[in-house]
Amino acid sequence: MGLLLLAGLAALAFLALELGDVSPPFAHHYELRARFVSTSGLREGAFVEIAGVRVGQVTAIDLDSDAYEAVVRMRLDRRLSLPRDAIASIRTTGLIGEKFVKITPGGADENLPPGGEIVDTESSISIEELISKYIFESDSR
Amino acid sequence: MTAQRSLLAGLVLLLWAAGAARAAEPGPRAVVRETIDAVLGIARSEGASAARRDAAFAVVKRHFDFEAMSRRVLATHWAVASADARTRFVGLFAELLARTYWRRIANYRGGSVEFVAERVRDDGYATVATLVHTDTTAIPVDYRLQRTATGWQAYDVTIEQISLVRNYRGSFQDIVHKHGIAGLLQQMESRIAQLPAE
Repeated sequence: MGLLLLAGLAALAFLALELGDVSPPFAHHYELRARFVSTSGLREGAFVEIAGVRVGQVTAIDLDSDAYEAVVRMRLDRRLSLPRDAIASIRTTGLIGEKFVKITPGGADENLPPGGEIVDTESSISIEELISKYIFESDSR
Repeated sequence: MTAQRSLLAGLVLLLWAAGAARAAEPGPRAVVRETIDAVLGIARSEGASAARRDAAFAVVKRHFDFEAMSRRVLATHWAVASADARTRFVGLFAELLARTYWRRIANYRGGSVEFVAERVRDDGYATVATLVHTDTTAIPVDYRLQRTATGWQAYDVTIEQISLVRNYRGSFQDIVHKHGIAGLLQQMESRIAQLPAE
């Protein structure tokens, strides 16, 4: 009976690690933060990519209630180091797909330390809002 | 009594010196406002377009760090570029921006530039958020600045949340991958030649 329970738990843990986005605490990751004016549509667990390659994921999105800005925490592969002037942008897969964080590395000599913050960011843009704004608000001349 | 008085005088002097130091280094918002006002003033003045463009460019150069911008735009290729290629890139990139945007600035007949917010971070970076009002709409334009030895210097501009540096970083990256840095410099030169100089 106890053995069966143990086997069941082991199977569950295996499934969680394999299928879910749960990673063991001893994994080789580090955390970075980034602030955005808007993260609309971005969800926890969304992936982080560089040059189209998945290098990490979003672990938390919180509101800084003083500045009314979104603070996104990301977990990245420890082997990956990023220059200080990297830019984090919220992008959409395809036209109406899911949101993800795209990082473009810069050219600074210094790298971001673990737990550091990517200073330069581009927030999510709503194509629909942009189009409507320039249809209705700008002159047609 | 005299000791007290000299202490007071010393204190006043100290406060005055601190005030002077602060006045000598304008904050990010003041830097951006001063630059915009000066450029718009020149754009709306009379005179030959080329001369006004050069005058406006000189003002922009004081508070826009084109080298920092170029390093960010060339990104990973900056480190491998030769000193000569870097210098040429900085010059060409500044000229490309000046030619691309001068016409738009010279033609800007909008109402005003509104200063919305200033966010200064502890680590020497700042964002100045503005709204550029045209006759019919308002466009959010944010300036990103860094504190340097010569005061606050802008290194990026985001329009509708789209970063100028990130935009050029992406498109130049493609060109460098295909044609190398020499190829990029060549393409920039021919692009500049196509754009009107004034």
